[in-house]
Amino acid sequence: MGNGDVARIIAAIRGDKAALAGSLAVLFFIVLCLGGALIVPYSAATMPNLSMAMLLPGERGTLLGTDELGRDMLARIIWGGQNSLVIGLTSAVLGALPGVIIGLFAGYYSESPISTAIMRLMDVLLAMPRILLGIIVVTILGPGEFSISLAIGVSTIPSFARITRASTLALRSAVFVEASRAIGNYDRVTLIKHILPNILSPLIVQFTLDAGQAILMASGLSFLGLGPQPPAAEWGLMIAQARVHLFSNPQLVLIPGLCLLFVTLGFNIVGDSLRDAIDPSLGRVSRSIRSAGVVTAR
Amino acid sequence: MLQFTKKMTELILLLLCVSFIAFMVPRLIPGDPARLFAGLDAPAEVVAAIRTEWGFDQPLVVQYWTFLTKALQGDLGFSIHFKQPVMQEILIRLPSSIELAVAATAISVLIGVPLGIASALHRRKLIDKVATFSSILGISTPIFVAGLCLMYIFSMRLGWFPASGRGSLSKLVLPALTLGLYNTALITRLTRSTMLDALNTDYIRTARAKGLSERVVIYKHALRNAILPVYTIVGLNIGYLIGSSVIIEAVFGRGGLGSVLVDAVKWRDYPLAQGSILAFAIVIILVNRFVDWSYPFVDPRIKGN
Amino acid sequence: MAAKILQIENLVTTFDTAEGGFNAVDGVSLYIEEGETLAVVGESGSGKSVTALSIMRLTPPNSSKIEGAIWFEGKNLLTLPDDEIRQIRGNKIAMIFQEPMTSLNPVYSIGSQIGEALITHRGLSHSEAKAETIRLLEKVRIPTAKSRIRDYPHNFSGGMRQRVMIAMALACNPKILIADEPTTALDVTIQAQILDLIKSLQKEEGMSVLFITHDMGVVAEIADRTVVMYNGEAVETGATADIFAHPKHPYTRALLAAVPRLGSMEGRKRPMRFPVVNRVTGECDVPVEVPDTVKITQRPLLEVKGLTKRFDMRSGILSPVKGRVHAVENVSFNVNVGETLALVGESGCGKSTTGRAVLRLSDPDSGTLALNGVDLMKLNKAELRNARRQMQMIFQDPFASLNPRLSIGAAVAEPLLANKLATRSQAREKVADLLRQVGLQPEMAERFPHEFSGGQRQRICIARALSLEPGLIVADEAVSALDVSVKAQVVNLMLDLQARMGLGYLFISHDMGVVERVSHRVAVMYLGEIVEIGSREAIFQNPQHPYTKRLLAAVPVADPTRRPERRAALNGEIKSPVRSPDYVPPVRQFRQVSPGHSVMVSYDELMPN
Repeated sequence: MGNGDVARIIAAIRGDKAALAGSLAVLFFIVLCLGGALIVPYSAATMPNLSMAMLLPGERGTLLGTDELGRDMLARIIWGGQNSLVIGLTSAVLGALPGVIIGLFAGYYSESPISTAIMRLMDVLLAMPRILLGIIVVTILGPGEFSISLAIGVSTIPSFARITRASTLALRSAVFVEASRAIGNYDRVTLIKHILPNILSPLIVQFTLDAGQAILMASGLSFLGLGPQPPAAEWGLMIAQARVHLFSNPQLVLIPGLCLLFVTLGFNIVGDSLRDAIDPSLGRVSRSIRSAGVVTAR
Repeated sequence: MLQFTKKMTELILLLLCVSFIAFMVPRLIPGDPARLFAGLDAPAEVVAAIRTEWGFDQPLVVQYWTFLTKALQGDLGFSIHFKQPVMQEILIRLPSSIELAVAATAISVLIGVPLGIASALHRRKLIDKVATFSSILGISTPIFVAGLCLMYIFSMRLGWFPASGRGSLSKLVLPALTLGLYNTALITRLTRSTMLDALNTDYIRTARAKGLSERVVIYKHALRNAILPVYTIVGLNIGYLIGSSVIIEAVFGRGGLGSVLVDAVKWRDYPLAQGSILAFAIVIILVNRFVDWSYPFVDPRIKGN
Repeated sequence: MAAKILQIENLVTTFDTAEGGFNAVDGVSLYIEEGETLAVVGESGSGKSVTALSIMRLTPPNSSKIEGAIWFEGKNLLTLPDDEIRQIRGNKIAMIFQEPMTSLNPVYSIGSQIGEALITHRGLSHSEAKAETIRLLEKVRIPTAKSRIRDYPHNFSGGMRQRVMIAMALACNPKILIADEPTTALDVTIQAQILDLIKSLQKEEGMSVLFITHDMGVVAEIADRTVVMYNGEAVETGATADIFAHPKHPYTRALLAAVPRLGSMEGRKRPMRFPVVNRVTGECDVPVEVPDTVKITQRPLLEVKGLTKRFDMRSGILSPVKGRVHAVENVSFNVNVGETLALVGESGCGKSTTGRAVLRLSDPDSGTLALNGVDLMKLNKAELRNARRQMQMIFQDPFASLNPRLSIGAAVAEPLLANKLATRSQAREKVADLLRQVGLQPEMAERFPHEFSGGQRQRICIARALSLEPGLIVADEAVSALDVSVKAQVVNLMLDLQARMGLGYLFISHDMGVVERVSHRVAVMYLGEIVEIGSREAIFQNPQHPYTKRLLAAVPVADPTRRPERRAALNGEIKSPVRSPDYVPPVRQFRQVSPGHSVMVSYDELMPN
């Protein structure tokens, strides 16, 4: 179970140059930030060294230059990226897991008043912009890495709950699910064996797209000063701090900005091509042929 | 009439729901809410006065009732930082945020819809590839990075627009463009896919079989159907735009409701934070409801339902 | 001989697919004479619909290629410039489609959609177009046409939408009407109305009709000449009567042998297998009556008494009940061991809901169900799971009833494992045996559903249902989605299995032809109630209830020599079982016609109008 999905995903990415580039970009940053942190000491990213301040990329042996306090930009990108990626991915998981569980139950037991009530709450949450939900959570918990992870996670739950519920609902009346009940399977067997594997594809797509958005949001909240606090490094925070030097040293904004862009772009491109590959209704030729009536669907 | 009552009941329930969330926010923070409301360095008498005014020593239900009645009278408490009523602060700041969201929506519709249509009609041609790539770029760019880049190029280097502040139209251009970026990208993608879907339907085959010209088939039969989901998303995304104005206002130094909220959180000005959360929520819900209610006028299938 | 109005020469239509070019139509030549009806008949994938679309050049221009020649009024339609072919579409040649529900644009009123054709081709003004639209709607017998032109498609039923489509097609007095499976998605009584309408309009307008269908009954009823298509080729062409009387091509013979003919079972007591035709030689075996399988036991296999299932309709969770669907209302019947009871009726009559309620897939509101004398309504969850072993279900859509992620071996073994009746290795052996029983190879167990055809999948579903050795199988439209020849094979399999294992079938179907062939007894449902029940012979040869008569009269008979004279006033729509929340169903009276044959004493409200 699930092996088929992994194989399909790998095949989809292989067959699509854009998706390959996207996943390589994501992989590159993950290796850079998680691996780099093993080599570059944390202090290099946080300890000021005023004698080296405001070096341009390439100057005095630095690869990406230094910031206004003389801290090496590469070190800050590595440690900042680790923060951004870890916060983003943790929060995507924090949102996806409860979202999927809620969605499965609300979809399978859709007549129950409890699921109706839960989904109504999800609708209200979904109507709120995620950034606002994030700020509400931060208001309660105070700024910091943990609270923005939780904030983004909470704001992700409704979309996962929605998409899972919709797919579950669509499958619940599917004949093979009905057949599973007619055979005498327990509900939990039906849910786990027959429904979950068949809705995994849209969930993987959603997760990929959401991971990109979560990283964006994490950096956005940090940019507002609600995430990690200085002297810690985080891409959004780095950009916020470099704003005052935008006119004189735009590279301080541009470098972390491009890193953020590439990671998110990578996730989005991969998510898009997975969706195209997995969703048969978007299938290119097959669809037009069907509409032409070659396969008479009766 | 029954329809109207039902809609109003639904709206009131929703408003109660969000007002309860806003009400709970300061009460979920560890610590004495009366002290949080009075300010951390406020004298004991002030704390005591606030405690009785908002009933912090009463059961939660009573507190909520107090909160509701006061809010309905326009009393959302006193901002610790600004030393004036929260309501007044909100009313001053709100128009700026709405103005920004409306301008950004207009930009994204004006660019996104035509681009999406062109992209769908010239599938896999150059314009489609350009539109598809720039829209995925658009949804991947952090808006504060985009804002700072625009600011660097158009105000710092070229000097075409002012970098910050609000008031004149020229000061609105860059923030609205930045805020509209993500939305434009989204609307382009959506219009493209709904248009492709619409062009693949049975009724388009019927229209062609009737001998109508391609122009009529596309712009009358397909577009009208393709635009319906776009309309919904544009409406729903006004909420998203209002939310994102939080970041735009921080980038461009526009003192809207969003920047007030962020500052209030940073300054631990809880009455102000609570008030702005409530204001945001109400505006967004009103916009969403309005879009919902207008739907029957746009889509004949929903009429009378 | 009348003049040829349209001539197709060596038509080849190719689609680009991921695997390369695919010839959907492969060298078809045919012609249509003035004023005649030509039927193109074939099973799915035969290329019949693509042929129709190719005439209008409506195949997707980017991914398809049409070659050959199509001559119409001295011009080759395939080489005409785009704006000239548009002058012909909807004007000289008009087309109607299979799916009336999706073929009209949902956001424009039907008046404006019909008016469009008039304004485009006949240059009428808006007010002239409106008057003409009303005339056209009246012509296709839409009641109160004048008040309906501002209505949107969703305000019409499927049959009414097809009438709107026909009105639109007739707008410019076309020379040829192409009807691509126009009645396939419709109920049989509505189908009869639409067929009658097309026939009479053709007479009035003097146009030619190209009728695409898979249904030999419809062909027999409507066509002057017939083209049989198979695999993109026209394998046989001729006068309809000749083709039915002396089919030459083996495929035509196989197709005809597999078609159930209403009334062909007259004088026979027991169900009968379909004859099997060798596709290569065209030789036909002799169909045999099946052995007597029915065993009258002290208590019948399945007893259903007073079964009722209603659904409340609300607009939101907090809103009051707006109406109530009386999906199944006080339904009672028995099924004996080894017996097939057919439950027939049109869409919305409650037959499927009854089937689901019998298996307690949805819980009935009231009534009693007893299987082998065990009251199913009194069982708790665990006992019910045990009892379900005794009854299994086969569903309509063989593509949807198998989990795409499970190998078919796992699917067939699942009931055994779920009920802990076998170890994995025992299950494997059993699966091999079951696959053999349903005519598949045991080696296929490793494969996944998408590797099988529709008929094979239905065999797999039957194997799965049989794995628990049930006494009763509920077959919900089990063969309805299958092509005629496949349908015949699956029906034969079901009859063989019944003879071998003494299965009882609750055979839910709308297809009267198949029902006549397979069933021992028949119950007719209408608006959630059984209006007539009796032996197959009684229902088919001596129908009593007006609805039963109407249903039987509507079924097209696959025999051109028995073409019915115009059916008298088969008007009206199928009523809806939605009632107001305060509706109390009246107490029904039944009249016994003969032993085992009883009919509801009809009330006006249950009479089809």
